[in-house]
Parts: sequence; structure tokens; C-alpha cells
Amino acid sequence: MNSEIYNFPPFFTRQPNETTWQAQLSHWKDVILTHSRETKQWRLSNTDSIFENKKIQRRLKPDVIQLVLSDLVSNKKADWVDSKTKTEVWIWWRSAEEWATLILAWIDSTGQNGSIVTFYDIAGDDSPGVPEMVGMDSTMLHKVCQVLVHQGKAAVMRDEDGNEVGLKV
Amino acid sequence: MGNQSSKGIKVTSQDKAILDLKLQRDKLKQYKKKIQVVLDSEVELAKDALKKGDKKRALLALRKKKYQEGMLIKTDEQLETLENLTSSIEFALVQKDVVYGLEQGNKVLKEINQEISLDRVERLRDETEEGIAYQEEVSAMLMSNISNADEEDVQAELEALEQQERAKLPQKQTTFPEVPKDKIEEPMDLPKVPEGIPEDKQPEKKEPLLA
Repeated sequence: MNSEIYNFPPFFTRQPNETTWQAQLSHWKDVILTHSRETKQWRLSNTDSIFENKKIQRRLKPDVIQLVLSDLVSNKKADWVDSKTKTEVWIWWRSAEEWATLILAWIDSTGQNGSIVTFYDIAGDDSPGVPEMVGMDSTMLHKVCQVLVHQGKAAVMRDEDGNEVGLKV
Repeated sequence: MGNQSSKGIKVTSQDKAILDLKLQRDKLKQYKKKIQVVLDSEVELAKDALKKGDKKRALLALRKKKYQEGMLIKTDEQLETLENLTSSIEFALVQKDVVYGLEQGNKVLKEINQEISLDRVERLRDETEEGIAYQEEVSAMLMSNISNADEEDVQAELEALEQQERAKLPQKQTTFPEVPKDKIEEPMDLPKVPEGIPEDKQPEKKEPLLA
């Protein structure tokens, strides 16, 4: 964590002033997104170690964590893993649209337009098309695919069990 | 590829077949990875057993390893078969597209050719010939007009011009100065040639005196 603000003790306490609080939320958003991009973290729970800075012996209170997570979701930087319990989020350190663009770029650059690609081709651990996507959960992958479908750039293909397994582009 | 509509992309049964093949390929790839892990662990087991002096165990592990290696080779072969099949199908699809493209091109060519019927070309050629003939007639007429009315004038003008040119020319026989016929008198007051041998004016060499 290179962020200076992460080592700033008041960062771990909710600021009473509304303007300050909004700025604080925005900083939390940046810290989380940067951190998950660097560590390739797709999932963030409300008990994640990022909410505690042992170096300065500060931790965010659970209710504030909840607010931070909600802020991420409302800014479309995250989705609830379970929208009822709201304890965990999928983090979009790249938006679904950005991921979709990356997939298309890979398909274009490898001349695969019109052919079938499996999810394993795109994000499998064996020479993946979009290496950054390795490890992405199927829930997130589904959302990325929906973007492509809406753009009319691809059709989602399912196996016999009805699972989404590939794309026709 | 050819069958791409403007609204989204249709999935055909061929696509499904290709997908199945590719999924199978993915599974084989994963299986290969699994075997590789087992293989490595058997080697480790054999090493450990050897360290402990348990030859039997080591041999067993190595046999297992051998077996897994065989599986790995088989898997590779199957993977190759699958990939060949997949690319054959994909290539066949490309061929289908090529044939489709050829068909389309042929159709267009036929349509264009129909527009250029032979009758039309013939008619066009006749018309062109008529046009050329007419053009020739016109120029012939113009020529004859000139010879009737103005030819004499033109001839006269030509003569006049010629005369002018002739007058301008200098006379060809130029006169040279006459050669004088009488003898040219030689001037007689030239100095006389000396007679007799001229005295040797060179001083005689005096013999050096012997002192």
C-alpha cells in the first residue's frame, strides 16, 4: 500500500463533516480499487485485511465498512456477491465494459472473428487470451458477456448443463 | 462469418459442435496439468523413499510415474486429434464462406453481363461507325469546297510568296578581283651578296708559354 492516506489515522474514522466524509469515501474507493488491481483480487469481504492497518493500529468500524462497500456498489465499482446479506462484493477494478473491450481486442488481434472461443480460451490458466482475467469468477464473466451481447458483438454459448462456457464472436 | 446478422449473433448447430470440441480440448488440457502434478509428486515420493533406503517403495513410485507418463502421451495424442478435427471444421466453414462468396460474385458478374448484351454492343459499334463515316464525309466536303473556290487564290499567293523569296536571295556568281597580268618589278636596291670568303675574325688561340 503506497497510499499516504492509508497511513493517516483519521482515514480509519468516519469524518463528521459531510464534505470531508465524501472525500474520505472517494479515497477509500481509490485505495480498494488500486489494491485489488495490484493483487488481482476479485472478491472483497467486509472482514478483509485492507480495512485494518496494523502499522498505525487503526481499523475501520464494521458499520463504516458497510458504507464504504455500499459506496463502491453505487459507483458501479462493485457488485454484491449476495445482495441480501451484503457482506461481500465482486470488485470491478476494470469495468465490465473495459473487460469486454479487452476481449474484443484479443479476438481481433488473433483473427478469431466469427469463431467460437471458450471461457478457458479467454481466461484459463493455459495461455489465456486476456491474461488479466485469469481467476475471474463466472458471475463477473457473465456480466462481461452480457455487455458483449448487448453490443451485438457476441453470443453466449452454453454446455449441456446450461452453464455459460463460451462465446461466439 | 457470412451468417452474421445485424441484430446479435446467431448460434448454429455447427457452432455448438465446435464449442463441444473446444470444451473437450479444454478438459484435456486441464487433465494434462493434473497428470503433470501427479507425475511430479511421484518423482518426489521415489526420491524420499530412496533416501530412507526403501527401494521397493521407490520402484513402485517410479512405475506409477511411468504409467502416468503413458497417460500424458495418450492425452497429448487425443488433444492433437481433437485440435485437428476442430481446425478441419473451422476450415470447412471458411471454405463454405469462400464458395458462398464465389457464388455471389458469379451472380453479380452475370447480372452485369446481361446488361451488356451483344446486340447492344453491335448496335453501339454500328453507331460509332456511322459517326466516323459522317465525320469523314464532312471533312471531304470541306476539302472540296476549298479547292473549288479558293484553290486558285491559294496557288497565286503561293507563287507570290515564292517570287518574293527568290528576290531576296543574293546573286549566286560573285566576282573575284582580277589577277594582275604584267610582271611585277623586283626592287633592285637590295644589298649585294659579299664575294670571297670572309676573314676569320676569331682570335687565334695563343699557346700557353712554358715558364
